[in-house]
Formats: sequence, structure tokens, C-alpha cells
Amino acid sequence: MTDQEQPKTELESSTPLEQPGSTVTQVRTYKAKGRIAGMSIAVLAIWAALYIVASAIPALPVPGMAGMITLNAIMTAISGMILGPAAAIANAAGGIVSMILFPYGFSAGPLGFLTVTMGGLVAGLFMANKWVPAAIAEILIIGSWFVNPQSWQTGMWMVPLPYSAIALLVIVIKPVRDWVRNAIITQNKKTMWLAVFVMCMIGHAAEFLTTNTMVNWMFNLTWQYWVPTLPYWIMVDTVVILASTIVGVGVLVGLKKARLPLFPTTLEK
Amino acid sequence: MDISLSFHLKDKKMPPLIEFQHVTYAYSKASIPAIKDISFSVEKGEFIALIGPSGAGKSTLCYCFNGSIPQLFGGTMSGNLQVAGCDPFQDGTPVLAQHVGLVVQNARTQLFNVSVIQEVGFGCENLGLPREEILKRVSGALEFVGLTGFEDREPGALSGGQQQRLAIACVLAMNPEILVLDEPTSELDPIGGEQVMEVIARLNRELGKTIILVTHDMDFVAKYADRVLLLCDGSLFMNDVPQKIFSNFELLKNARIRPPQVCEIMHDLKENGYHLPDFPITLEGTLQVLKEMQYA
Amino acid sequence: MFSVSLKSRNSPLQKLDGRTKLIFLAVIFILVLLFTDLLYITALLALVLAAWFIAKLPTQPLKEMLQFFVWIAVIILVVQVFFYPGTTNLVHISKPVPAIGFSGYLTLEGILFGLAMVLRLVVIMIVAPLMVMTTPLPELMLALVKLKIPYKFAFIMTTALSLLPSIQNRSAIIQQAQLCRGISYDSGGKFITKLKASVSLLIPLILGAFRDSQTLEVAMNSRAFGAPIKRTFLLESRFTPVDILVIAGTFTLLTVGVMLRIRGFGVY
Repeated sequence: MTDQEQPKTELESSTPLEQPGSTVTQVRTYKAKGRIAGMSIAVLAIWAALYIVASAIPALPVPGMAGMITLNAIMTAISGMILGPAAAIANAAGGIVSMILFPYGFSAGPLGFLTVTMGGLVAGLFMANKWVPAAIAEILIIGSWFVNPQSWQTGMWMVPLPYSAIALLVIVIKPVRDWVRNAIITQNKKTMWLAVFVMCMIGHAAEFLTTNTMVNWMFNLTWQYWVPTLPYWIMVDTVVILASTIVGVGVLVGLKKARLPLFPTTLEK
Repeated sequence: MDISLSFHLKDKKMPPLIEFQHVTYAYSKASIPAIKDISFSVEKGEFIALIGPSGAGKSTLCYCFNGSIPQLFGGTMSGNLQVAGCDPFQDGTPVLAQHVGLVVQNARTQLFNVSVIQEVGFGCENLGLPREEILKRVSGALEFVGLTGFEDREPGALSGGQQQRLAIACVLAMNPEILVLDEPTSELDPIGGEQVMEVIARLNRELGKTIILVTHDMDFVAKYADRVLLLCDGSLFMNDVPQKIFSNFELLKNARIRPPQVCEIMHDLKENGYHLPDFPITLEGTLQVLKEMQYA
Repeated sequence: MFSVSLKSRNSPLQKLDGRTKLIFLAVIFILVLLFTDLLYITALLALVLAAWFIAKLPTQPLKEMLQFFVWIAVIILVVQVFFYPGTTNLVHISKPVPAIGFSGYLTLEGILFGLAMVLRLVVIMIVAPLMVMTTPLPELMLALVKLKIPYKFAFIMTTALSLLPSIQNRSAIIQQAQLCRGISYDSGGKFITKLKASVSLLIPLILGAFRDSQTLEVAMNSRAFGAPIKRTFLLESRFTPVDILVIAGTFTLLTVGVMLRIRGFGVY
């Protein structure tokens, strides 16, 4: 509840502090403070508010699952790329409030916010180059799908394949990982689209597999449901990821042009 | 021109309430400093108007008063700075918030609570004041800005002028000795703006608060300000009484500032060979001068 | 769907402390996931519905909400009715189809289990709105903070909520501007048109909101946000005897539920 850190400004350079009133002037460089994982709380709150608004806008009516996929699916997919690991917090806050206000976007009930939290967390950790925790989180997500005895039924192993397994591979394999991050950080015009697509895939995959796992635990949906509908879900997910890619690129470029706050790693280099 | 000269000479022994010495600041990732070599000081109870064209660094300077710069924005800064005995380089914004109330330009985005009472109490809650004390301060602040009875209203549902007065009440509840207001009337209708300006004038006169006001309303500056700081391209152009500033048309033209209308009339009269006993900058003063010249 | 102001003011539920209601919510959620027996889940549903009527909440949102979940409810029901490995055969449909795991009969267990799952969905979906519609959000946030959720997190939630009108406003303006340029947002459009509209709405919306974030940050901090002292709260949060009674009852319910489940009751 209370902030443990003392309100002292971090001095990046270790120049001796001057006395007030002295005529010596030294140039000091300051690092912005009062942030969660590099993002200001104001940005997180604004993201959460955007998230709630997006939850109220139905994008795809999806027969067969909770009411519909709303624009918050796009918000979740791009959150990690824009906010870093703090996206988990912003998504969770936005998720809780929107779940309360517009429950039709969440099939997992009161715990529905966990799905969007995971989406932001995995992609955000990846973006912050913390690939080990990102991989652990992804493995946990995939693992929790297989903890349920139902997932040992015929063909149920296929559900996490697109795209969670691919996401895990991207996180673990160093050249791929570095390529994706560099393309986004440098905003290379040619490679950026593919890299953002991969980022959105990581974010979205973490979200929907968590949703699937939770729905499966709660409502005991068997392979007779999952396997025949799998092609349909792959299609829906691909559309969401593609839409997120377009939005993601637009936002990244726009933020850089406007010199607006971005997750620090995307500005470096 | 020694711009760091303090205008008020009443008590030279006391250190000034605010003191800037050669302050230069550049936002992180920016190549050109937003403010350059700013030096001035402010005494307790003064009403300072900060004027200048857009992009002159007025908002940046405002953020320096409560440590938002450099603490929140990061960047590089040099020079010495002292505000109400605190060092904005070192002391956190919560410490400075008790001395400096900052009201930012956009009324809408600085209100972020679900009710007016929560909005005004927010600062005191953060300071950990007892509940009874907070309630007392909230009702006092709301009364001062004329928003008594609005406690349970949603801040977003108020009019622009009411929102801006609410923003003033929010910092007033924390009882700071300095209030920094960044263009509080820029987005308001004339009546709403007038009400806000009236509150600001009363803050200075009735409560003795030190006011730093960024504004484009030169008539208001002429009427109320003790001193004007003219900022242009990040540098302090002039630091003088309003009359000196508004009678210097050459300077104002260079700084792309339009003086109060009465000054323009007086200036034209002077240009056309009329002898003026004085150079008034307010309507009342102008009437007085015209009376002396037997035109009114 | 629910406006924040939609709450009945003088119901007994309104007077309960936010924490009490959060605990109630959590316990109901745990219990409904603990049992799979139709009888037990019906009992929980009855409890939630009773609370809904004690709170004098309108039934309209209840209906609206259930409409959104008709599809998933039907699917859940169908999957269970046809594929649940029951033993009491009721209706003969066809020859057994082992390839899809269908025994050829509709079983009693399948139907009961399917109904139980559907009711579980209903309980899960209405229990959170029940609490929210009887608790103003600031009180809910205070309850979260008192339950040791970090204040900064609760702050993000309340702030997001209060920024909502201005962002909705901005979104309406963007949509109007797009309408002028022929990008329609109405349901009549083709799928790809809708997608295009979503994209061209989100980008300016996100960028515009980010532009405001610096002002918000300065405003927060100039009101001593993050001061390293224990924060006080204007809103009061106090347990009344009724609260303690309800919490005691809730925990008793939880204990009894867990005991029953351990003894093997309430599941097939």
C-alpha cells in the first residue's frame, strides 16, 4: 500500500551534489521515476480506460464462444509491445472493470481478467528481453491446458499448437527472438510488419489459450467440441492477429512520430 | 540587463520563496534545451504573470516548480533551483506538492476521480491527513472556488469553467503557499474564464498565495500582476513590472505578444504626437489619463 | 451495458461493506466450480438470485446478459448431453458411433450434467454484476485496497473508470469523422469493412489518449500521488454486525461445501 522507495531522484551519473546557492553548475541527467516496469501509472491508467472502451465495441460476433470478440482482443495483442511487462497490470485493471461493465466479452466469469493479463505479460516480458520469465509463463499456460485430464482425449493436443507452441518457439530461439525485437525497436519498414505480426501472435496466443483452459475447466468441453471447431478458431485467431498487426504498426509508428511515451526498449538504439 | 534582479526590495535578508539560478533543461532525447539559462526570483505573496508565444517553454518552466521536471520527465538539467525551501532536484513531487499547487492546462485530463469530493480530497488522502481534516479542507476549498453543493457531482459532467475551478480547489485543499497555473482559461468561454480569473485574483489578495500564472489574457495581467516574466524561445526576455513590459512595443513585437488593447490605443496616441502624462495599462488608468488630458 | 449509476440505493446489500461482498463473490465462485451436481448448483443459483431480489435489482440486465450467453449455453448443453459417459439410457437416437464417442443414447446423467454446466455458467455470469450493481466503484476499490490489493492497482482501475467518458467522447468524434469519409461502423457492413473501421478507430484513439497521459501524470503527482506515507481514505469502510454475520455465514458455507466435496458429495 505505501510506497517503500524514498522520494529521491536517481542520479545516473555519480557527480557530487552541489550545495544550493553555489555558483558551480553541473549538468545532471535524470531518469524519470515513479514508474511500474518503466511505464508511468498515468499511461497504465489511460491504457486501462482505452481497454474498457474497446471492450464495449463488438468487433466479431463469434458463434460458439462467449458473446463476441470485442476490440479488446486487439488491445491485448498489442499491449505487451507498447507497454512492456506493465501491460499485464494495465490489462488486468482494464479487464476487471470491463468485465464488470460489459460481461459479454468474458467467458471465464470473474477470473476472465486473468486471460488478458497473461496476454500482456508474456508479450511484455518478451519485449523487455526477459525471455526466460516469458518462456516460463508460456510453458505454464500450455502446461495448464494439459493438466486437465480432458486434454488427453483424442486430438486435444492440437489446440495449443496454433499459436501458443509457435509463440514458445519464438521466445526460446535466440536468433528469431532478437530479429523480432530488433525489427520492432528499429522500426524497419520492410521487416516490421512480420515482426509485429509475431508479437501480436505471442500476445494473442497467451490470451486465448488461457481462456480455453479456463473454459475447459469450468464447463467440461470435450474433444467433440474442440477438434471439429479448431479450424474455425484458427481462422478467428488469425483474423484477430492480422487486425492487431495493422493497429500495432500504426500505433508504434504514430507514437514514435509524436515522441510519446513508449515502453523504454522500443525507444532505445 | 540583469534579469535575476529581484524586484521587491522590502526584505532583503529573507531568502526569496522561489529562486532560479541559470536553470537550463532539455527533455530526454531532445537536442535543444526547452529552457535556457533562466534566472529569477519570486518573493512571498507576489503575483507573477508568465507570458510568451506558444512553444516558448512556459509549460516546461511551470513543471520545474514542483519537480515534475526533472523527476517525472527525466532529461538533463543544470543550474540551481530552490522552491519554498525545497530542492526540486532532490525532493520528490509529493514533498513539493505541499508547497506548490500546479494546475495544468487541460482541465479535463487533470480530473480523474469519480466525484468532486473525491477529486478535491485526493491530494490530502495521499498526504495521509486525518479524515475530519480532509473533509474540512475539502469544503473550505470548494467554498472558495464557489463550488459548494457540487460534492457528489461527476467532475466530467461539469462545465469547462467549473472544471478549472475544481482543479484549483484540488490543489488548494493541500494548502500550498505557491500556486502555478498553466493557461487555466485557454479553453474556456469568456464568462467561465472570467470566473476562473476572479478566483485566481482572490487567491492572491485574500489568501496571500504566491501566484505564477501563464496566460494570454494581457488585460488580466495588466490589472493584477505584480511582475511579468516574458519568455521567448526558452530564454527569459524580460522580468519587469507590467507597465514597463507593455509600454515596450518593440520588445513585445519581437516576442510576438499582443499588449492589452488600451496599451495599443495609448501607443497610437503617443505615436501621433499626443503628450501622455503617464502610460496606463488598465482601463481604469486609461480613463484617468484621458480625464487628465480632458478627453473624458 | 450497465451504467455505473445503476444501483439500488437502499437495499440491505447496498449497506454491506465492499469486502463482505467480495468475499461472498469469491466463495460463490469457488463453490460453483467445486460441485458438478445439478442440485448443488441449483441451490447456489437460488442463493444468488435471492440476493439479486433482496438487492431490489432490476431483472432487465439479467435477461440481457443471459441473451449473450445463449449460444455458449446451447453448445455446453449439447456437448454434455451427447457425449457425457452416462449409464442410465433414456432415449435411443441411433447406432453407437464410437468414432465421435457417442453411445447412441441420451443418458440421464448427460442431461443432468449438461444442465448443471449451463447453470454453472449462469451463476458465474451473474454473481459479479450482482455485487457491482450494489456497490459504487470507489467503495469497491477501497474494499480491494483493504483486502491488501496494492493501492496503485486500485488507482489504475478507478482512474480508468473516470477517464471513460472522455475517451468514449473522443471515440464518438473519431467515428463521426470517419463517417464523413465513408467509413461506416454500422452492423450492416461487410466483415472487412468492419475490420477496417476498427483499425481506423483504434489507432487515433490510442495515440490521442497517450498524448493526455503526461498531463495526467503531472496532475497526479502535483497532488502528492505516491507520497511515502500511509494513505487515508475519505470513504469509510467499516464492518457492521450484519457484515460479520454475512461473512461468518459465507465462511460456514465454504467450509460445509468443502467438507461435502471431500466426502464425495455433489459430484458425479
